[in-house]
Amino acid sequence: MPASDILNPTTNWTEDIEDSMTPDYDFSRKRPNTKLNKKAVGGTPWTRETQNTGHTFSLSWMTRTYACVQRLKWYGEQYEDGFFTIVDWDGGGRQYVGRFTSEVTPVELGNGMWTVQNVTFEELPEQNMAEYPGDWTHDAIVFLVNNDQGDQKLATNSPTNLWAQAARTASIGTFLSGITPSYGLAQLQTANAAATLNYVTMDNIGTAAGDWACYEYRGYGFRLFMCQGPEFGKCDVYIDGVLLETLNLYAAEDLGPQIVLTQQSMPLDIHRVQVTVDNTKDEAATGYKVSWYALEVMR
Amino acid sequence: MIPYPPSLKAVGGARTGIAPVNLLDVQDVNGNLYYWSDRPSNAPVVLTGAIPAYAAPPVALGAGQSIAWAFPTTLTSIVEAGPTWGSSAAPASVFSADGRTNTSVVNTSGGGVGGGVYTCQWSGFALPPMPGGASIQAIYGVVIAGGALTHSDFPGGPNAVNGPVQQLNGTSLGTSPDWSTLAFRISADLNGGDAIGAANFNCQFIGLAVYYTMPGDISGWGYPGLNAYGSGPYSPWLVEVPGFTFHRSLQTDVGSFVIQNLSGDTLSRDFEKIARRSALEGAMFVYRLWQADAQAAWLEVHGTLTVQSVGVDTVKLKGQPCINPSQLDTPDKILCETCQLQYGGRRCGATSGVECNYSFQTCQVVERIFVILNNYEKNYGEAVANTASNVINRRRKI
Repeated sequence: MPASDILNPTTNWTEDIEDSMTPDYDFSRKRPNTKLNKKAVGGTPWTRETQNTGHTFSLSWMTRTYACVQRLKWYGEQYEDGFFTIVDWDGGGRQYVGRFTSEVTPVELGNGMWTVQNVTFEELPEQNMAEYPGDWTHDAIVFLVNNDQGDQKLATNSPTNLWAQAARTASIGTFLSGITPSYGLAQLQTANAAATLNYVTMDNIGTAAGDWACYEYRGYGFRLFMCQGPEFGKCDVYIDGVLLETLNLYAAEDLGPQIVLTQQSMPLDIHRVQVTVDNTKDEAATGYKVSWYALEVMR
Repeated sequence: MIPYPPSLKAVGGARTGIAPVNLLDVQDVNGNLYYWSDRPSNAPVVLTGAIPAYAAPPVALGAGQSIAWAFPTTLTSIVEAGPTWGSSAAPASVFSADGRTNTSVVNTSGGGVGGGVYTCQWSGFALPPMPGGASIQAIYGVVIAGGALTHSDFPGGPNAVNGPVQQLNGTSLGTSPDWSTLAFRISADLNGGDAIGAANFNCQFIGLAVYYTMPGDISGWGYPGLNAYGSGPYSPWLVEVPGFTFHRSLQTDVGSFVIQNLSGDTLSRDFEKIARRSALEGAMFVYRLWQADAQAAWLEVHGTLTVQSVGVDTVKLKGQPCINPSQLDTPDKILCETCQLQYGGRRCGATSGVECNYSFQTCQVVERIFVILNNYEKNYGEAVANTASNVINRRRKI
């Protein structure tokens, strides 16, 4: 199971190599651009996510034992065509799956010590992980119905045109109360602590089964924010075309946007989260309405 | 030569002051409208999708305003009061696409003692084509009266003709009338005491003038890719415009426009949606090199579009002239050894009572014959035409 084969499961000195497998400080973690950009002479630049490329590390192991270097060499050879896991201990212990894409070149120092410098580790998309990234507060970003320029990014489909954007208002201090959202939504929470907050949702009255709203994103897992209240019905959530769960959006009181679904165990890829109206509701609900607010995506 | 407007001369030559904006108005074959530019612009659009009306706008257009016309499709005759005696003529119901009509309201009394009100009611108005999300400021009913007005006693009141006017600015209908029930009435009234026995009103045009402005807000737009900053209908999609070479001939003037192909929701690109509506094949376009400070265009090119190539981040649209003879699929006439002119017609010019055999040999007005002459024609005798021989594939139509 390559995902569970961790190069540096601990920062500690380990007896079998008489050293630590954790790379030296001062390594870089980059994320190649995965977007296309186009811009006219004036006006807004247009962008589109087109690739699922992951992070890239440049790692060095300085003044290590030969056993340590041997193991690095082994990881390079064994997973030349596969992948293994590294842990970014300095970055909060987050795991990455991938492989070395540059040669592990040991250089002998004095006293039987060796150095391996600037080995490139490239993250592989679409691979299972032993532990999926889950720091929603710091690593997740938020996608709303519209982007900052006002262009609708949430795709909708309704043969009878039942999807429509709705302007909603949260009274002071009620927006996502009791929820610890990502840094992005926390900004709105803070703003709401001092004033009423206007926000936009994508609503459907929910009576035409089959109407759907779908967001395609690049990243790992996601958290879905939808409105809950007395008037909201049920809906089906599909991930990449596979039914994940049927959600009951009914709540006795109007709660506004809530985290209705958290799916953390998803590999890095371009994913599609689709909410499909199914024209059913809780017995106590007064309507079938479905209202999409946002998607938090782990990056 | 069409001279430049004075405002352009005032701002100097192109590219000496504010850089001109490239504007591309597109109306596809299904009537969808798109406005693209290389930067946000609030220039007035050229293609509005509206049918030009027979009438002039009843009220002067405000800044940034455009006008669209709605025309009736149904006409009914209503007897509102009476008559004790008399009759009304059935209204002729003739409509044209630009709102012209020859409707008459006629009320004829029987010997001057009859009375009554006869009304023509136009209905079946529909919201005229406008750019998505346009904001309607006012709607006026407009009538152009013509022909004989034989009686002056017409009732007043809303939407009623009062006197022999040439153009009537009716009561404004607000900004959101119920188009399904909207009706426009004109009455002819003849009182019982009137000595003259007929009232007649003839109407040449009937329509509703809809005053609107382009939206500056994305929320109302029916088509994707609008600039969200409220600076006009043009969205900055235009990445590249062609340099046109103009030929004063039928040689084709072509050029390629490049628009971005990235905007849209996360699932599909905007251009995908446009192509789904119609592939833009044959769409009408108007390209302008617009000098914003002069509010005038240095260059205006009209033509039709075809999609040249669709790339991952751009789409190339080829602009072609409106008139492209190479695209005509119906030749004017079939060229063959049989004359294609109608005997005795204007182009033939023969005046004899005996019809020819549509051949060179039997032609009575040789200088007008419409044939290709050759020397292997056997149908009509052995005479050899004194023209050069051409080897042709015979495509005879006799």
